[in-house]
Amino acid sequence: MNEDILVTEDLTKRYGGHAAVRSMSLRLQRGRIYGLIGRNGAGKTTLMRLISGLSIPTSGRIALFGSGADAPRQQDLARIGTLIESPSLHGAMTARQNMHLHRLLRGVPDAGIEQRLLEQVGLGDTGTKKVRNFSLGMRQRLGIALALLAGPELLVLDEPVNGLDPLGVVEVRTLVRELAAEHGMTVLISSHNLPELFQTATDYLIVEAGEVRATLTLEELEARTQQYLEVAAEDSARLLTVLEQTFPGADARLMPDGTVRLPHHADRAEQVLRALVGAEVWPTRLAREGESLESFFLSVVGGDRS
Amino acid sequence: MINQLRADLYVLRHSGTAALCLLAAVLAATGYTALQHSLAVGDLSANAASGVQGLSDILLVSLLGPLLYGVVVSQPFETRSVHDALLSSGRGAFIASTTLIGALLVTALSLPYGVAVLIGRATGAEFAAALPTAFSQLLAAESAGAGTIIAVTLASALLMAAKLAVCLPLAILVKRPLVVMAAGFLWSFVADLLAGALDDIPGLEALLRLTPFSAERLPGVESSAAELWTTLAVSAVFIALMGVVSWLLFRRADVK
Repeated sequence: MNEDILVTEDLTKRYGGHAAVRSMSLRLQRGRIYGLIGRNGAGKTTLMRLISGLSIPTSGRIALFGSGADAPRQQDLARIGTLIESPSLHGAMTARQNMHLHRLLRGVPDAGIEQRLLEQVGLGDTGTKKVRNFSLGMRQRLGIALALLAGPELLVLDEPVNGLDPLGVVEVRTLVRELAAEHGMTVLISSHNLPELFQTATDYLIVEAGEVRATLTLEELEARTQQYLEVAAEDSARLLTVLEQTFPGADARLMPDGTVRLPHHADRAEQVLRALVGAEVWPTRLAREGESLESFFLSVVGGDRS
Repeated sequence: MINQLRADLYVLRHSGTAALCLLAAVLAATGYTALQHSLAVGDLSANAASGVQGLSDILLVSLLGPLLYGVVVSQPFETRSVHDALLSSGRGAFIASTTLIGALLVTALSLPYGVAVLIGRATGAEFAAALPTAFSQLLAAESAGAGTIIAVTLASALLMAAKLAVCLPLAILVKRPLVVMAAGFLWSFVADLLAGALDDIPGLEALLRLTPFSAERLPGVESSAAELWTTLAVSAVFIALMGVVSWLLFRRADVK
């Protein structure tokens, strides 16, 4: 069953005359990982802050965990874990002391969770090292551990892989996927790293100028950004037959306009041409088509500034 | 609220600023008491009495009290632990805990002076009242018993914390401890001048008596139990009122 964890309706946040978020209507479901994509200043962080109760909406509605309320209630906010902008850390304390502080704050009785989470994010052996001496990546890992302390049902992560090394990026990705798959946790995650987000999220929200410009699932995004080889010939049926016989695993598809698409052969134009010429099918068109993640993103947000 | 308090107390245990301020209060109280003994036995001339002022509770609390209020309020914003605080306990509990911890800390700044008086009186040594402050009076008043010293110390300490509690809403607005420290230090002197001026205006005098700024609220050796209780009550209510003002400012504020 698709259970709504978060619903926003016409959510707007203005700072003076500037609308950082405007009439945003969203619906996030349990156990999904939502990738929030947008340029700097698009409204990603403001949206996350509104959801987490750090900012108060100018207008509109935020309902968490199926509540009928128009704004997040305290008992609903307690079911959220966040890492927004930068981790909540006391530099003069160790990682364990920071965990202890936040466990007290969250009222979590299980003391063992401090060490378990530190080990889960690879900080189990930091001992007496003060957090002020941590690298950016270590701070991010600790921030993620803190966000997980109270066993949240909704995890809001703003640029969580910022500063992480490639191994750390993979570990965070694996962790986020596990949390969603095994614990039914819903994750809202923002990142500028489109390929990384593409490998992590199950759903995507593309925001620009405070508005949601597109919402799509991973499957839809894959379909939109898949590279393929497009072939055309006078005799479409013969073209399709030859391609199916020569490249049985190519998943050749005849399109309504008479062209044939080869989704898994975008880089094999030469072999395809040889096969067609050998079968005396003369192509009138042979081209690599499809959008990259970046070009698709730019086409949605309507700009050329990366 | 309990979770927030426990967390705030845990932070306090690791706070270098709080520890340094309390250490400064202990050192100043010791020096203040020793200097007044030196004055009494003639080791220091009467002209040196003005030097004692630099170690007085009024100067020390006026300087460090606003700093502590500023640190207690600002630190959760600097470390962003306020994010978790708002998620787990809410804005009301955050302000309530901050108000309580801040007031207790600033109250604690005056306590070493009370302890120094108790120790000084217990030694049977002579002390000269170098300044017209409660602690100087207590040191010099041989008739004051331990009960009186403790009661006046508590009333005086809470009164100072209440006078400086205006720093709470200020800290919520500016979130910079040094700015709060400077403004609070200035306020501690301006407030007394203002109170003196208001005291002469008919009608406002009664209102002023309901605040910690009235001269009537100053505890001393001669204060009755009822007067001390009134001072404690007025101070506590004023601190709570500043907490409410802070909450009104923070209730719908954006948190970075």
